[in-house]
Amino acid sequence: MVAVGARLTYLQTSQHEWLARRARAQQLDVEPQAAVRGLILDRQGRELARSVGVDSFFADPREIEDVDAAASGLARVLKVDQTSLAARLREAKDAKRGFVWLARKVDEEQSRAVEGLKIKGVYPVEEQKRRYPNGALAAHVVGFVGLDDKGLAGVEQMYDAALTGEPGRLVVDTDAKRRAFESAGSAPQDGRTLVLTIDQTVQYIVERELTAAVEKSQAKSGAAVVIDPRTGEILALANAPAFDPNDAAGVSADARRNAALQNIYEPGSTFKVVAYSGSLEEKLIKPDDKIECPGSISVPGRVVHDHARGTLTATEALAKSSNVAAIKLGMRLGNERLYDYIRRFGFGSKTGVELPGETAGLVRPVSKWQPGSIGSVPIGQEVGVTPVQMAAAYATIANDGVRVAPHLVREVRDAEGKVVEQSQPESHRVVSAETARELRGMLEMVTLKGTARAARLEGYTAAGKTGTAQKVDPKTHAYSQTKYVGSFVGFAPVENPAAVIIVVLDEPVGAHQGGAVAAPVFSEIADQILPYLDVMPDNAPDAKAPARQLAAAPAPALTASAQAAARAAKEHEGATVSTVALPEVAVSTTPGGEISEIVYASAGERALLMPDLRGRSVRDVARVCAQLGLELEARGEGRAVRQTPAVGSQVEAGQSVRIEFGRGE
Amino acid sequence: MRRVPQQYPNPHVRRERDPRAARRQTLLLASCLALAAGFVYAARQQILAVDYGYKTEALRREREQLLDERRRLLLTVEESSSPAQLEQAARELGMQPARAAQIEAAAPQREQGRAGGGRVFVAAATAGTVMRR
Repeated sequence: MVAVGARLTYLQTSQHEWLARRARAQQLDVEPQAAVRGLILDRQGRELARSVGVDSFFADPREIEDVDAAASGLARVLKVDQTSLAARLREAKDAKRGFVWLARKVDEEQSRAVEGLKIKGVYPVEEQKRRYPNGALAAHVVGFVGLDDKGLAGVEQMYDAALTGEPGRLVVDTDAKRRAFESAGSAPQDGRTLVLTIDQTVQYIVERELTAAVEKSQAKSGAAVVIDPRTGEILALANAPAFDPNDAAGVSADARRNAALQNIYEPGSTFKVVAYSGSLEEKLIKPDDKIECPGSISVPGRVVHDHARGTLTATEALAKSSNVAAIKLGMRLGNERLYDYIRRFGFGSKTGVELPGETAGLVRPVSKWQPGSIGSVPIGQEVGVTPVQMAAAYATIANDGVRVAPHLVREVRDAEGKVVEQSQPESHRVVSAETARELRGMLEMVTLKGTARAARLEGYTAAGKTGTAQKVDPKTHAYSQTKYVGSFVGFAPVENPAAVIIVVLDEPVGAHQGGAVAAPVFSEIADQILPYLDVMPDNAPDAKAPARQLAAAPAPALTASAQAAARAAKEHEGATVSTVALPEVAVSTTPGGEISEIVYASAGERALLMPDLRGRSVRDVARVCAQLGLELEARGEGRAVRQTPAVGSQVEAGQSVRIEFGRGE
Repeated sequence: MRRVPQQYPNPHVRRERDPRAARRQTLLLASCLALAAGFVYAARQQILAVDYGYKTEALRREREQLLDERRRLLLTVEESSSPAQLEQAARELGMQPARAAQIEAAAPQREQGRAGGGRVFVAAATAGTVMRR
């Protein structure tokens, strides 16, 4: 008894701490509770980024009996090099290390396969993995995270702290079989939810059209931005080529670069709107005032030539993109006032869009202007802008002269869904509403009679300006004769603009004018997004062109679902519902094959006359054929050069027509 | 109560009942029973607590798994309804994006510019309608 008592006393006094520690180690587990990274939503609440739990695997090499066998099985399942894995395990085992990562954030299938191996000493641990359900969609806006879930680009980086949340910690009591029976601790605070101004559908349309344009023009890259001018909300911001943020590690830094606000370019003619708006605002001109355009103008140090000649009204001069007129207006304004308007439109300053790496552009103060700068700046040379800056400037005109700072984040919500932060963009007046209205009218003429006829829309009025700028050759420091930036920036409808769209194509091959390469992209985008945004047409549907042949097109029967929906809509709202519907179109491409594009269109019944499709693009021809219910067999690429049947021949819906496309004819 | 040794029987000695001793015994017995019952109750409570602890922990883990599963399913929904998928599905159903020609004002007066949601209808066979979800 004495011995037992003595032993008990010894254990309870001098060994108490050690024994208590040992007991705690055996009985208690500390489980870190990872906070789930917040969601990123588009303006309609559709998810752009979400974190899900996945398994990672680690090994305790001390427990692995046969390292080679384990490495062989694991390498096969995890698709890693067996030799290097075996070497790592053996080295850790020799060094008596108890932890080696085998694979991080594996997919469900791999996870099951690893667990199926039942290798002693291999354990799973749950981690969060960031997933982007739309793949490359809005990749440059959303950004991506690293392996440790830290934001490395886009809003993921800008709002990393808010998205991350606070991890929790749980102390778990376990029994001899390591089964938990009690726990206490702090719960994790999930990250906040970010609601963007981006609209997923608009973004998709913009990306699709931009990518098609970059491929078609063989441009080095392209950027496009869509802004709601009234709110400054960016509805879409796209770059091409894009990348998949689900696999951002394997993407080059160039592809990840957000050209829409990190690249500056000389805007060229799209910048002329500053000189025009300044002159209108200062009452130096009226839209109908005549400007003499002799074809060239001398400025200190050089002579600036012009393709537009004669006595033109200010509206005509803008429509024809006269350099001389813009320079003359710049001269009337003077350096100081011109510079003032440039800055008031937001050039030379960051727009404040919530993305990392935005550049302020390049606008030198007047003190650093050369004597000949007045011959350059009004026509968009000697300045560097970003596409977002240019879109914001045109949004100012579209918004009756009030500039609302463009922004991407609508609100931030906490984990319970309560709004904790709401964007309040700064706004200020740049020019009067009257000046803005006059400018809108002048810019509309650019699309109707000027350099941007390809920007006309189907059913909507449109206004905008083309820009074709020569790039500066980094070797010679002179303007390149082969490298251009073609751009178009515009808005629609003219009187009540719902969207400002800028399209910039960098180094297109062949046709490089903004009116040829960028304006059609504007048209394609606007034609699709305006109906989506519930914008009422303000123009005759066939105003865009006889091209679209809408008047001639038969109206195919509505599909059953369409009829049902139309009936339902009519019943519910007493509405007039259009019964115009377009037939099914499916495009299949066979690269390398002789037939580059085949369009299948559903057949109608009535006969019609074959329209003249020569000179049109594959896309335009496909659309016309689809509208007419013709089956198109397209050969070659470029513009339509020959067609069978001939123009004016009687064709029937469902009939096959052969169109040959070519370049340079 | 004094006890008389057994080897000296004395039939004349009568053992008197001591009510206090009986009360003490009863009290002792009751106390012991109460104590034992208390122990049993406490033990049962402890066992139940541990049992509930196991169940709670199991439920906590199940809840975490279900939340994870829910997140995965929501992700699948988003992936399935991405614009690219919707466009493909819509085109398979014979739909196309809405064009301006397919929009008419329902109100007596034709609205200019952006119209209110209740006044505009797009012919239903449009991807735009589908894609709006």
